[in-house]
Amino acid sequence: MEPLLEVRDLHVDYLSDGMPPAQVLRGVSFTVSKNEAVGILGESGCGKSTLALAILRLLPSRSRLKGAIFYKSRELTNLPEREMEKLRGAEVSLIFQDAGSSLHPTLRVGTQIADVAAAHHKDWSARQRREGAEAILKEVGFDQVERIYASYPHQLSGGQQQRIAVAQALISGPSLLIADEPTSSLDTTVQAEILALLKRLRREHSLALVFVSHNPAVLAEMADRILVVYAGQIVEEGSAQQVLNSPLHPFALALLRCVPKDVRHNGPDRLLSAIPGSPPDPAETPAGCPFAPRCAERMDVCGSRMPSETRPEPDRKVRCFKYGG
Amino acid sequence: MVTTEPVIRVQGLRKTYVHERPFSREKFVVRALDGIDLVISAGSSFALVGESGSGKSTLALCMARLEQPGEGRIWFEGQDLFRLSGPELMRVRRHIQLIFQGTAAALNPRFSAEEIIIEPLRIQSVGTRTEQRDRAVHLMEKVGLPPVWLSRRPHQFSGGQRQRLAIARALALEPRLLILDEAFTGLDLSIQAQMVALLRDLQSRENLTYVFISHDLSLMAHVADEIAIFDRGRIVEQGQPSRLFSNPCQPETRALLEAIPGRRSVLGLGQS
Ligand SMILES: Nc1ncnc2c1ncn2[C@@H]1O[C@H](COP(=O)(O)OP(=O)(O)OP(=O)(O)O)[C@@H](O)[C@H]1O
Ligand SMILES: Nc1ncnc2c1ncn2[C@@H]1O[C@H](COP(=O)(O)OP(=O)(O)OP(=O)(O)O)[C@@H](O)[C@H]1O
Ligand code: SF4
Ligand SMILES: [Mg+2]
Ligand SMILES: [Mg+2]
Repeated sequence: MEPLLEVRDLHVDYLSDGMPPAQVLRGVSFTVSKNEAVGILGESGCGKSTLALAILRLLPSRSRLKGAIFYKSRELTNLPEREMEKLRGAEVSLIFQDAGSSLHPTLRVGTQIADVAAAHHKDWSARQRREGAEAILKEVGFDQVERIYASYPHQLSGGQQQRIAVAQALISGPSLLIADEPTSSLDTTVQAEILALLKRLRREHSLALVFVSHNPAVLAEMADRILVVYAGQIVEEGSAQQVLNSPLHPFALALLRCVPKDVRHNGPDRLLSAIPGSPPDPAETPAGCPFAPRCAERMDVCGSRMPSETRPEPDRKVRCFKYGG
Repeated sequence: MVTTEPVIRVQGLRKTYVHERPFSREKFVVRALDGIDLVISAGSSFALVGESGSGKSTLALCMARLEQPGEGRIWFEGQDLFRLSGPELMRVRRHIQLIFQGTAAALNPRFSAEEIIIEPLRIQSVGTRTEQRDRAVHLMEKVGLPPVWLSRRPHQFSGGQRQRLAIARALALEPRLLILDEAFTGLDLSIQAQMVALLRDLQSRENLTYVFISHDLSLMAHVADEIAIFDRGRIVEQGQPSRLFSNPCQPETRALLEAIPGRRSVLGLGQS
């Protein structure tokens, strides 16, 4: 079956005066099928938000993109902006990482949601738009819908703003939702409601998801497949089960070792574990494996050239010399 | 200086927001804080956890004297916060730093990272120009960002990098009380652990007090000495993390604990 989204050898550089270009994505390829949920896991600064923005062509002007992005077989990188606008929101929605700051500061949030509804459901009456917006506000966990509808963003808490962004992304009934940390400022109870809502949309409306999260437990619940990104490359890909329970790549292993232990069984852990060292500056091109300076399993070959992708098991990919590379 | 006085004492704090209802003379009334009493002792780490919209950030703003409560009082090291003015207030402002929720997204877009970090030092006239710059370099390293990025503007950083910039800025003045409102949001687990280690290290050397506001109960369990559970403007339960986790007394606490993702689907790794 043809994938819903296919990203092929995507490179993104950020440009700035008097500095070498920052190569933030270095040849990223993956697919997302209809109704599939793909989770993205990676360290701060590895290029997750850049990837999300690139798919919707929302990168800042001082950037350079190479490669191809297919959505329902249409190549997006050379689509006219007008066509792209039609796609955004209606077919493909994005929840930005800083959801609160993506809201319009001087419009009531209910109106902002109803406006998105208007743009995508042209046949809806004003009343239908309002009711649609109210219904989605209930679904993202608000009980005082009337008050929330009439509020300006600054009158809402951080988590309330984030839920408005979720509502706005969902009201058009997209086929693909790209969610950049959509529940990062929500308490566990409300987060569970939002995750349940997304699961229901997957079941009932075949919604496909690209889900960026720093929380492996959230990905375990939400994702079918997981991509692990390090320094702008996918270093491991596999089913959520495989990647979370038995990661292959030394970086994935190190990152998952940082999950805090359950206090009830182990008591508080004064020293949470971290991966020593820091990722390479995207402005410099590492000669060998980008993880080598921090890798506990590095070998002689690791510093000399970049490992290539291998398939140690069916449906699993990894980029590391331990597995052939 | 060793004080027996708690760093923060909150008594009977109430704050009500009123906002207009379109096409109506009635107004919406939101009881953001509905009678808060709280004592935070010096050198401790205190966590506020609770449902979205329960009033945590409102309390943070009041503790940093950025919001005026309707009723009640707050004492900082024994001084009534809302009676301070002039140089005394300026001094207290130096000792209390708040990383407010969304700070990272709201950093001044025209400032460089360096200007962002040293602005509090400039406002309080602390240090010479060179000392300020050295401090900025030092703090960048501490939060795991390359000092060569000091000339970059906020939009040239990733979300988690901006978050760390906000932490560096809040540490610039060496506050005695640091309030971190969702400051770990958007940081990966490894960086979270590094930030926790950094804050611990500072705490062990100076008598620093932290108030963490976070939705991440599992993280708070490792970080805080005491957790207060917020619900609709009130503290419904308070206690040490191990007690709260093993023996929650209130339904709100139980609900938050049960909703921690991955509680049931056991993550094989990390627990070993
Ligand atoms: N300026 C304001 N005007 C009107 N209502 C407000 C204002 N600021 C906050 N509120 C309301 O007060 C309540 C408490 O908000 P607060 O920001 O303190 O919540 P919070 O516990 O920090 O939530 P979150 O976890 O989502 O950040 C919310 O219902 C919010 O809508
Ligand atoms: N406009 C820009 N100019 C130069 N560099 C940039 C720009 N925007 C981002 N970067 C850099 O690109 C890298 C990737 O940024 P991106 O926002 O994609 O990271 P991320 O994986 O989303 O991280 P986080 O988890 O912290 O949000 C970072 O190192 C960042 O510093
Ligand atoms: S290629 Fe070598 S350095 Fe890189 S992750 Fe694998 S073992 Fe480690
Ligand atoms: Mg990001
Ligand atoms: Mg808040």
